[in-house]
Amino acid sequence: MDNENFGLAKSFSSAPVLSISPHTNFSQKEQTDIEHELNEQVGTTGEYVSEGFCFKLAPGQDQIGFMRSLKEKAPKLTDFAKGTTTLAFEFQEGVLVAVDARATMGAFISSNNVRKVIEINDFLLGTMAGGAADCMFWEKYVAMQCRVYELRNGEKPSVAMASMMLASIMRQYRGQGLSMGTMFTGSDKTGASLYYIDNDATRVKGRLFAVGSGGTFAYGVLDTNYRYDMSLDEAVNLGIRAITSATFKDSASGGVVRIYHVTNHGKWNLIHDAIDVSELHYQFEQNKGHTGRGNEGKPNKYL
Amino acid sequence: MDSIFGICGKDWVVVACDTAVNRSIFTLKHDDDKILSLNTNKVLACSGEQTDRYQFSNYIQKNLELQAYLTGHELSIEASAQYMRTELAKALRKAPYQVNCLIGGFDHLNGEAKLFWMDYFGTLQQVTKGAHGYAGYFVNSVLDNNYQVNMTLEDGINTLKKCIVELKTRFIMNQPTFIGKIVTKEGIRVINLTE
Amino acid sequence: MASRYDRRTTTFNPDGRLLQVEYAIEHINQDASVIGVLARDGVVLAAEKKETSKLFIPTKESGKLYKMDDHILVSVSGVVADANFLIDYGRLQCQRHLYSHHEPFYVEELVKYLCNYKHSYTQFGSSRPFGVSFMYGGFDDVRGYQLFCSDPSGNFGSWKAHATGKGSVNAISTLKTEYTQDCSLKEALILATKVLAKSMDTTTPDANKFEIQIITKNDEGQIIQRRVEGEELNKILADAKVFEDNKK
Repeated sequence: MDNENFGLAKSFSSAPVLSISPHTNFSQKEQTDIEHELNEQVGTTGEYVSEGFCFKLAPGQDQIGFMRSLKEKAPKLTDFAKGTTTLAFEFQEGVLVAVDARATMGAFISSNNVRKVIEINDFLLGTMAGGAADCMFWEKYVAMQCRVYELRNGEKPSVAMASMMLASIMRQYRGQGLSMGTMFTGSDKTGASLYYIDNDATRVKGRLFAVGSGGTFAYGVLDTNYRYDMSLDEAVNLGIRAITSATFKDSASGGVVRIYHVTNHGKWNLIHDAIDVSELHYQFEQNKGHTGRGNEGKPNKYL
Repeated sequence: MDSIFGICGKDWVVVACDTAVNRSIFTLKHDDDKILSLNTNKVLACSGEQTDRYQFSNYIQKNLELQAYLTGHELSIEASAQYMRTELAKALRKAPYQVNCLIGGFDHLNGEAKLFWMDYFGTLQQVTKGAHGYAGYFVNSVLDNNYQVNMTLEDGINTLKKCIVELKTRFIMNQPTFIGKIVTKEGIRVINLTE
Repeated sequence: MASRYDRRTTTFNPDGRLLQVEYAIEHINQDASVIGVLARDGVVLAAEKKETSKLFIPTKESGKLYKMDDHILVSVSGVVADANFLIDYGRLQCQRHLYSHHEPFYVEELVKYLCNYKHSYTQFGSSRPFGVSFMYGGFDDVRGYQLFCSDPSGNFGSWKAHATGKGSVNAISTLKTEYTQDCSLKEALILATKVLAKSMDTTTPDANKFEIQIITKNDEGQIIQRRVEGEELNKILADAKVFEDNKK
């Protein structure tokens, strides 16, 4: 990013705001051969020249090949430790998003108070799993594109469209080392909807997703208790319980629970900003009549 | 790990697929339709990674639609299949689509149904029955043994149901639901193949 | 004669005309006639052969009729060099389509393809429009036998019978009155030769003046195109009463 114009409006002025990704370069399209023009097909992409953003890329042309060999030679360099639990599900009153807040660097817990829900704009939310920087950067980029779309067209883009923007970016950078696993959710004219998008450019619309190392544990709680016709309170409680359970079993997840609710009317609300999971754990256990130390029903002779 | 298979009679063709989207150790989705209706008489079933499936099938669908707009008539089943093969082969040495396909359709010009089998290398073959992936190991023998010339649509659907029973008894993957698309003179019909 | 507005192909004159393009079309009207007739079982293209020197040896492809693909036959009026280029261009596209779709190119698509190209040359400065008018006879599974005609501006039309070149005005009016719907190939041949003979300069047309090709299906149902010449041509000329008519 050593371009002095990086991030300034100037650097976007000649850049295509039309394009979904910063790589697509419309302005540099030279007068092409007439023959080529006539043969144009839908979806054909030409050479990409970076404009708008100036990432330092690895020397050489073959980025994908470079990343592949890097992975072989220095597996640890490209393999970020990704420990997290994030979940989101659709229910009758919209979409509920629940996340933990732990950031780890290997075995070291670097923070227990990370914001893993990215507030893209006032109607879109994205969760963060994988590379924090990639999630944050590209979801903010989508925010910019959404705003530009709104200015140009006088209406907000649909969630389907915004999620497609992100998926298209992931597709263009596929195999080039991005790391992102996000639940992309928001509310438009059709109500709230939920997508899963990751760095393989997978984009799936669905009702219920859990992403991250604690995802399996979260799924366990969600799948057994999930109903579409839940009330908001029930949904919030389910979200809290699923995250708490996941943080209990997954060492890479923990900290606090944050809950967001995406309504069916074009807005989202922050329900809980930080509930300590360890407190929740004791609370839940004590509700069952346990201590929370996990020694119920065990012989206490080795204690 | 997607299971797709199909069978073709004189004037009908049925293509079936499971509906799960899997990623690492998760099943992300249980109700994904992997058979795209290209128009009213052509279906394209794809197996492979979700993104490639989506990208390839939509690329093909949109371009076929564009060609139909430009020419005023739709390509025949064979020409569509050959076109897909060309596009797949073109992409193979650049940014390959990891998709294996079955292309089924009904040709109104000669009143015949056709089924094409294509792998991600671009091998295209007209077949009477076909399957892709691990499912093929289980299902091909069932299809071979149940296929008959001039069999009816009913027999075809029953054969596919037998395939699904076999997959459920022997295949390790959890594929609880299957859907099928039938293409006949009347158009495309969706059926739920899970009993 | 010269006007301020005919220097460039891209400039309309105050009457709203593109003079260079019109001149190119005029060039075609000066050329020898070509008649095309559509029959229920084939298409006939008949052209007037050019006056050639005794010393001239015809090359592999000379004359007015060319094979575009197995199922498409074209006639050329106008600048032959331009036509050669366009024919190669069209042939290539036919083969490309065959390669990618394993199916012959649709006739109308070929016409459209060439016309788009011709048209593009009326859009840019410093280039000259193709001075070529084609008549296309062809067959495809979707629309059966077809006859098209295109001009240098990139316009094209589909016809039951059509004529271009010097005698085209008279020829078209004759075709209008004498063409019968769903005629056989034989009838079409007779009509084409008759109309062509009438529009010729000479009062004594002979068989050497006619260059005729047909596109039809053989007994096996395959599309073929062939020249009508020798004995067969003489017979048709006799049936068309070409020699008698002109004596009158």
